[in-house]
Amino acid sequence: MRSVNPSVSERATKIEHKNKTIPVGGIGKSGYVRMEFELDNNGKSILRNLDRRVPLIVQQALYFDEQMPELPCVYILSSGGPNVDGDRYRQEIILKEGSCAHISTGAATKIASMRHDHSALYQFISLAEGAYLEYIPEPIIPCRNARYFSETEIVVAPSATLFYSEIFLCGRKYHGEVFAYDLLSLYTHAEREDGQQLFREKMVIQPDKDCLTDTGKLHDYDVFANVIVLTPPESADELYCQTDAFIDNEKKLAAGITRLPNRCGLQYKVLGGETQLVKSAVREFCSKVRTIIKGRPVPKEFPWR
Amino acid sequence: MERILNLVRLLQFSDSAFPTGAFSFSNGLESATEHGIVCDSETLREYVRTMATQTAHTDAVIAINTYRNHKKSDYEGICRADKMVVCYKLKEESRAMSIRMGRKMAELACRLCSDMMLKRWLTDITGGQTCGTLPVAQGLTFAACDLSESALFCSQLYGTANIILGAALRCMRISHYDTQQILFSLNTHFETLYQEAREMKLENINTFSPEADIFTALHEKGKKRLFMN
Repeated sequence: MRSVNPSVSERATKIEHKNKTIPVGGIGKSGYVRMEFELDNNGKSILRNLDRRVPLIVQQALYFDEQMPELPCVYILSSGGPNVDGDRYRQEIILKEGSCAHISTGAATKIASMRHDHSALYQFISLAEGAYLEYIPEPIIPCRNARYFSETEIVVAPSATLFYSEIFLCGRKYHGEVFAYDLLSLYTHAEREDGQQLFREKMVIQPDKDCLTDTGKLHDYDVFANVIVLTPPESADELYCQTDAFIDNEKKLAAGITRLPNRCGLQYKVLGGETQLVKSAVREFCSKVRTIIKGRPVPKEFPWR
Repeated sequence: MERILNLVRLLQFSDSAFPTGAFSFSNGLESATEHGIVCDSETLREYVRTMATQTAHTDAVIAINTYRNHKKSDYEGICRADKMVVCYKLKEESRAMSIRMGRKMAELACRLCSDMMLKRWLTDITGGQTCGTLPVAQGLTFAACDLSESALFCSQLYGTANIILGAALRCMRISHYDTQQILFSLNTHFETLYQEAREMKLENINTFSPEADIFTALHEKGKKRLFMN
């Protein structure tokens, strides 16, 4: 397996760190998760290896998906509450040949208000031939003055399918926080095992500097979702044909789909006024992906989610 | 002070009549006007500002990098940048536009000026060794003609703004006076954007225009069109 890059935070920021909080690397400041899924002797997909460090917790893999009972479903939780100043997280998700998994988080991830430093997440996702992963975490809520950097490195085999989604809110609206955060830097890139680069996307959002309400940026939307589907070209073509791009002014919801470079898959973007509508659109899209790849839809979401 | 010859060549390369096919694209404006989102002078000005900023933080960084690599005779660096453009242009229509216009510009530039690196690059495009994207073609052309880095940047941003404003005249109710006022007011931001772009490393190329991405997606999927996809 390829060795993973050093933490994104080492190079992602020039923000001065003054040691007024628990220092970076202190106990509870460096969350770590490594999950390895593979097929057991009976051909069942299982979470074979798990390693973790506080504050991250991984729940036991459960097989509760009624449409796909062979799918191990895993929730990542944080015992520390929101991401705070100086937090560094690292998540490694490995799916071996033919295995499958569904990964989510227990609740929305808040990026707390920050004074001196930033919070960062580095993710490494690797899918071997024929693997299938749905990664659908709950939304991220950046609070006032939050600064958050993430890097997601994906290594995917040509016959594998990855559904990767992220949803970002404008802040805690109830507290009057609408794009009151300082900075979001979201970097996602994918390669083949031989190093061939498939695509890269870096989004940098600085509400103070950028005119987010400009036409073409977020305009009057408060929530945006970014979905990457890496899948073989024939599945991508089918999915592209089945998925509409639309702007629904009544619902205040818009979505668009495009083909990624190097025929590696698709990107689906959703903008909305309300979180629930955007979440539903992402889930509906995931259901289309699963139907094409596995022949079965995603079941109805739990009412408490 | 810029030489007269350089100024004239800057005007030539930035002219909408320069035959790279820019007039056939609208950068998503067609869908934005169809859905009534870009509907007047103010919303059009915002949209042009959004797209000009995206150009400054993506294609302009590549073009400047290419320009500098031409000066250093680093051909490998130029090909790496070319490959990178394809990887960060996630919208199919934008990729197609960049490759189509890049090739046209390379062909034209090779006829206009004699430059070994440009010729080698065009040969590699023809042979399928490299993609031939627009920002790389622009960087090479400006370096080959010994125009300045800042002139290259101005030409790119002016081009982005002009494509959209030209398209606006054809697909929404707006006058030439309005489009020229928009261009005139936005030009004042170019200096700040240039300072950002010239300092930016390739790994920091970034973009954030989700609504514009959806406009482009609508255009890709749509059947009605004045402009190409």
